[in-house]
Amino acid sequence: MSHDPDDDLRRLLDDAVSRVEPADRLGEIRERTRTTSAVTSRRRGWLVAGGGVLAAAAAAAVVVAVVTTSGTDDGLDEAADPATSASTPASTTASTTASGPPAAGLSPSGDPSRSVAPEPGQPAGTTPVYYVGDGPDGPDAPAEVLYRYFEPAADPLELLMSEPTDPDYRTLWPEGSLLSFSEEDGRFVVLVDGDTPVDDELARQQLVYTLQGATGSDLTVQLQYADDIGITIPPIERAPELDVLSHMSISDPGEDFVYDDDFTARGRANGFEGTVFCQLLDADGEDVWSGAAIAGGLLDSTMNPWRLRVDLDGVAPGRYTFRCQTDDPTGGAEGRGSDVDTRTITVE
Amino acid sequence: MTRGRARSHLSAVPAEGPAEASRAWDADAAVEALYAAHWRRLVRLSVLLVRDVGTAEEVVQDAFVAMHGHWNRLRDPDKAAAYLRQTVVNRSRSVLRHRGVVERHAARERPLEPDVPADADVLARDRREQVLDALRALPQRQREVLALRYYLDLSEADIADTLGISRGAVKSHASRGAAALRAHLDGADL
Repeated sequence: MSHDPDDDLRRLLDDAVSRVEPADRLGEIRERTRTTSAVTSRRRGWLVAGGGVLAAAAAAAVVVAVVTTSGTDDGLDEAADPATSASTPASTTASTTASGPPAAGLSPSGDPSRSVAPEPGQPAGTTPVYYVGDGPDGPDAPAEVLYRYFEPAADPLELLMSEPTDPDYRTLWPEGSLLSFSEEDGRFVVLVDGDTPVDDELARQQLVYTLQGATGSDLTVQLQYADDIGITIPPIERAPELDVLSHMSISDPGEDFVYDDDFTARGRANGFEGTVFCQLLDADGEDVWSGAAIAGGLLDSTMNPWRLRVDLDGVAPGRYTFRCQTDDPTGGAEGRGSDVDTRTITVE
Repeated sequence: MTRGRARSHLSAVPAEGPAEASRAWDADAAVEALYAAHWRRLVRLSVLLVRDVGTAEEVVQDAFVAMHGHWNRLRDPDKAAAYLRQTVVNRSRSVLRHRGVVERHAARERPLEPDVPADADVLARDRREQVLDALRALPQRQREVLALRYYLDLSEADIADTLGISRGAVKSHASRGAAALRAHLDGADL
């Protein structure tokens, strides 16, 4: 062995893959990016008038259809519909970290008036977790933003250190980094391992959003090293939603949900004129269904709820990507671009 | 099923303007150039993470498609290369997570080296496979840090950016990973 241990590892790793000669995939990549371009340009044509909802007949790219929604579907209230949530067959949403009820420490103790209030749109039996994902595609967009995902109920710290159910997301908190949390003097005190990304602002926001969401409180978060007494980490204030969250968030469906009939998608968004545009894309990136909704409230400063009936009439069984995005009138030329959130679903 | 909705049809797709066309060209050209420069190295990086060549090709192909979609934000070959790197690591991680335990231990879809030549080469091949197996046995973060540090020769700061962890965490994963890798390979004739 060489006397320089680093050179030694360099040589070993380099050698380990030195015979790997990957197949040429440029043709496939070209093929797939052509599809992406087509979808991107097509969406520029979506029209939204008044409070009306426009949707597209998917197969024909040049046709926009006005969907006359009826009765209960008109509401923009994102509040979870227990019947719908319960009837959603979620074949693979159970994760190993979430088999039990929320940890005992979940409810802030000592103040019964501040009982756990669900987040807007939170289905029963879930815990909201804020994960990191890619930012939107505009030139002025943040590279990474937070996405809210409703995991099966579990200890929020455990969830933050586990792999997200939706593989598009990731967490900045490694296993073993977050040790415990408690409420002390009107704030959350979180004990952290010494080897922890406490300076990373997005990681800090992940934590404060998740703890506040999971407990229905607005307490600030104080990090403390478990073994380094005397080092003070500045408390974490929750940043404004639009500064750190994706401006498009799908609350329902969850990842890998299975449907055999029409369903109602829900989420929150903030974008140009409140427009939410959703598609069901097959494995080749072709849209087999698309529709639009308005994120209600039209407040500039918050995420606003939206809901949209997804019509599976004529959709063949299989795996699809359910993709929702905000409208970007510049087509990606300036500003933030379109915020996008996706779920993989199965149609039976 | 809901049927019989009233629908009226409107034609609504505008012609693409020149700006759209030039952006599309930029993204396509970027894919070509970055593919030529990075395809093989990124697939090899992913093989270090996921072990399987076919899976690695899928992962890196997906990363190129995602990069094309994000070109408006990237616009710069260095940023795009960093994006590709990060996406390959993240997607490799996702693939492992979704790969079942059974599949994980099953025979690989495609052997790393299809030909079985002379004895000396067989020894060399065994050595390469031992290294990959040892990497596979490490915790995910350690494996990622080792691959980025010793295969791509990234700085601590670049590894921290790629993985979204602190430089302190990079240091500690690197030292623990290197020690664990050496322990796994201890006794092997390398």
